Amino acid sequence: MIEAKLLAHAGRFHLAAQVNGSGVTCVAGRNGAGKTTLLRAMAGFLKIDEGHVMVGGLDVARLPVEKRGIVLVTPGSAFQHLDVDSHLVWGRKLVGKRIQEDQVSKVKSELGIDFGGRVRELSLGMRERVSLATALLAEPKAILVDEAFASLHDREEFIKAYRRLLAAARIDLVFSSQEAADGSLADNLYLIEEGVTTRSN
Amino acid sequence: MNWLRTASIAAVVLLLIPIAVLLYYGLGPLRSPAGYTAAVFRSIELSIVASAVAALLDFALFTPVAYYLARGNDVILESLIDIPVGIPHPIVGVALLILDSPLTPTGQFLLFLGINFFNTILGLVVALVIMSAPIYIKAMQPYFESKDTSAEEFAMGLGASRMRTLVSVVLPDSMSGVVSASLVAMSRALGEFGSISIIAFYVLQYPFYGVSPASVTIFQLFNGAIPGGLNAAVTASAAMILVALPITVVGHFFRRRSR
Repeated sequence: MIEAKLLAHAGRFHLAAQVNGSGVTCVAGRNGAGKTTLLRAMAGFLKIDEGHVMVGGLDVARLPVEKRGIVLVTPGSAFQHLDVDSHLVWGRKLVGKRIQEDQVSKVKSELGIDFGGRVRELSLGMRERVSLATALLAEPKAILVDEAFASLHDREEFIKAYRRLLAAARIDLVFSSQEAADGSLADNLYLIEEGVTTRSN
Repeated sequence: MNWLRTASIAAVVLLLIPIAVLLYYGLGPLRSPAGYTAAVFRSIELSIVASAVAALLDFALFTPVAYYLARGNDVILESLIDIPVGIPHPIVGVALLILDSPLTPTGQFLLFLGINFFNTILGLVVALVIMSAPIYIKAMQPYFESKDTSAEEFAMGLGASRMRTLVSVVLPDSMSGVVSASLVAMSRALGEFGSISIIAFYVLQYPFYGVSPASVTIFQLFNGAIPGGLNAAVTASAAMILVALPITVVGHFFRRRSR
């Protein structure tokens, strides 16, 4: 369960957003509507003026980024200097969880990671796969995905597979999209316009 | 006609004329064997070793500072860094002397711990760190600022602290910037004279017993430490430039690559 209700501002842009949902939540809006600002505020990279961000029944809005259990994934997230296999377990290792080889190989096959080598030499879509799989394997409370599904050739299939894996690990997902139609891939859909969210079904 | 280019080249030539003339006279008409004796090369060696150690210390101690300043908004700390650069260099030498003088309580304490700056390699290196660290920070901070922060933010979301993020995510991807900034800091240290001519005119320690840093040696020759010293100073200066130049060039190469 992730529940955010917050007021924040970045320069002259004001955000007054509310997002509730367990499972997969889609935040859809045009360029400049505030999708990224909202996700950054939830992850802790933008100070909020008022409100709360609840994950797993705990308000994390006053915690530093690294203590929130919320991972923000963007197209630029991947660590360039690692190879794919050490990248995938980086987050999991960091939090001291045991690494199960069969779990890693299951995630790799489900998410179409049938390549290896240095992350620096991968294509954008391949790097997005690696970052999303790394976030999943670290088992945070929530994963926020900002445009990081955009360069995947099998976008819909990928999101469906990612959903199944997230559900099994009980991780909430919020992803941003330009298209309200992507709501069909999610359990909840929010539309955002000029920093204000409205729930849509 | 590209006037910007012409004006730029003319300005840089103005900058380089004295050095070119010095190289010409040092290696040509005024060439003096007293300018490239074993003792002169020994002092260039001391300068290179001490500057390299200073650059390594700059890296170890001030990389986190540069990163902190690049990601935070700490105006006070940022302006404090400029202080050592903004005061005349001999004053830093005097300051170190007072800090570690047997006449002051701080000096008595440091000497009690066995920490002696006066005419020691330690004193030389400390002075060089003070004079080169701001240059290192000023080179590293814009490098970090120009770096995309997505991967860092990903690491922090996964639970890594700022320091951990710097060490395991940012630095492995910043080696060209680090090498470039370290070499810039090292050339700054090689060129230092004011502070070290006071705190470490020569060092009285193995393996450089009785050796002066290169800039001090050149100054001594210039002041007529030996007959015909002026010619020797010019030749020694040319030798120093020939040694220092590759460091600057390599540093520039890495800076190009890091863009």
